[in-house]
Amino acid sequence: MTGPTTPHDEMWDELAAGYALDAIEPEDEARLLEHLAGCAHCRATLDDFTLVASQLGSLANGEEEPPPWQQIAPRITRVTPITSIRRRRQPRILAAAAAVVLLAAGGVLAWHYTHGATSPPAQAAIAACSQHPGCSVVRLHGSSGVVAAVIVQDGRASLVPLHLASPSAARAYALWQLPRDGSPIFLDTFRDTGRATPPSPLAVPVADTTAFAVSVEPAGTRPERPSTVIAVGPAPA
Amino acid sequence: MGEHPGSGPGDVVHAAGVRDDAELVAGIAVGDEAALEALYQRYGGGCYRLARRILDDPQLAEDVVQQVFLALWQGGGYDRSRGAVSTWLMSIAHHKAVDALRREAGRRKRLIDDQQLVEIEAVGPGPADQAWAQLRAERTRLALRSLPAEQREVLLLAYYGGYTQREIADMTGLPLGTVKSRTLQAMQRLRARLRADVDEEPTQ
Repeated sequence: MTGPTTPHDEMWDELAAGYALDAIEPEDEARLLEHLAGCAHCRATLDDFTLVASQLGSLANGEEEPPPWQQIAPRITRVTPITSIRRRRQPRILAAAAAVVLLAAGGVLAWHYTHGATSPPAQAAIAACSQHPGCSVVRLHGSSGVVAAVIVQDGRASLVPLHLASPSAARAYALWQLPRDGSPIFLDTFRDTGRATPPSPLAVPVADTTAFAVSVEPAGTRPERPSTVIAVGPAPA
Repeated sequence: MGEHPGSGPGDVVHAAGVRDDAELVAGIAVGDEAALEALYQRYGGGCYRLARRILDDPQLAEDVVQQVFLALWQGGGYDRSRGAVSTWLMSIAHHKAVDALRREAGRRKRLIDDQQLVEIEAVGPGPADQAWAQLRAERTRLALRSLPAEQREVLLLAYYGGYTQREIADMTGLPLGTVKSRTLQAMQRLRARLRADVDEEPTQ
């Protein structure tokens, strides 16, 4: 990456540096997030500066011992199991990533994955959603990062496979909606990982939803509960 | 992070029988508590010590660490496009610690003077830390010391002091634009100095 070459670049680099240090004002943060959506150079710069900041954190090493796991575990795993994910405030760095995804327009979606590019139809579906005010994209995180997305619009949800392997003949994927209160609700099942599923009506309004998830199920069944959850993502705020 | 030898820009690869970071994150995604505990044992100490340094309060630092790993447990928000797990956790810990500091305005130190900055630079890894972490911290410390004093000051006030750039301008009497430009220069110099270290990061 090259250094800043124009006053424009330098202004954004200054904001990125301050952002990586959690030191910029809210109005500057908003400007930067909007700019990041269309500027690959600044996203790369921010990634660099975030890494630098984390290395500064290494200087905080000292004699202090962290609380033992047994002390804090009950406040994490026993109070909030994975199946009752609550809507949360995204950390700012994640909000930046989300902004990059949701604000990118014109099919230039910067959707970085570690396992290669997503298929054009998937990108097109997500890009189209990002340009529609009433449409939301939910990224589902699996073992290797984001493996699928759910497009939520007009009370319907469509699953967009991004990096899901084709299931064996005996298996299928299932899409679940996790309501704010209650158990996961089955929405749809699918085996074709090459295209988005047809929109399925949501079981409860998206405002009452905490997350979406994908599980692996025996083919040809309508499961009552998820067997093996392989990906999950928080519902749009 | 201090207690793990290979925490760095890429996911850490471990000896046979030890789950690497990516495997642990995958486990957490499906509710594997042991995976969460393993990541805590690996990186919880670094997050805690960073929060202690910023907040100067063990209870608040513990709350921050809990929030960090709760976020990971609740669906994370982490994916590989965000960089290494260690970098992501440290970023979240810093952000939450600064948030806590700003909420606890009455508790915050009004000014980190030169002596305190020196102390930050002088603190080294604890005896339990691994060799690579010690080396990395030492290199970071040297890189920090290579900065002009005026750049180092604004950087440390922001990162460890939790001050916004406008607050730093107010307390130092510098124009806000100068604070911003010094911060950028400091980050660029550190990036150049530390990039070589990143390239040397061990993979096992």
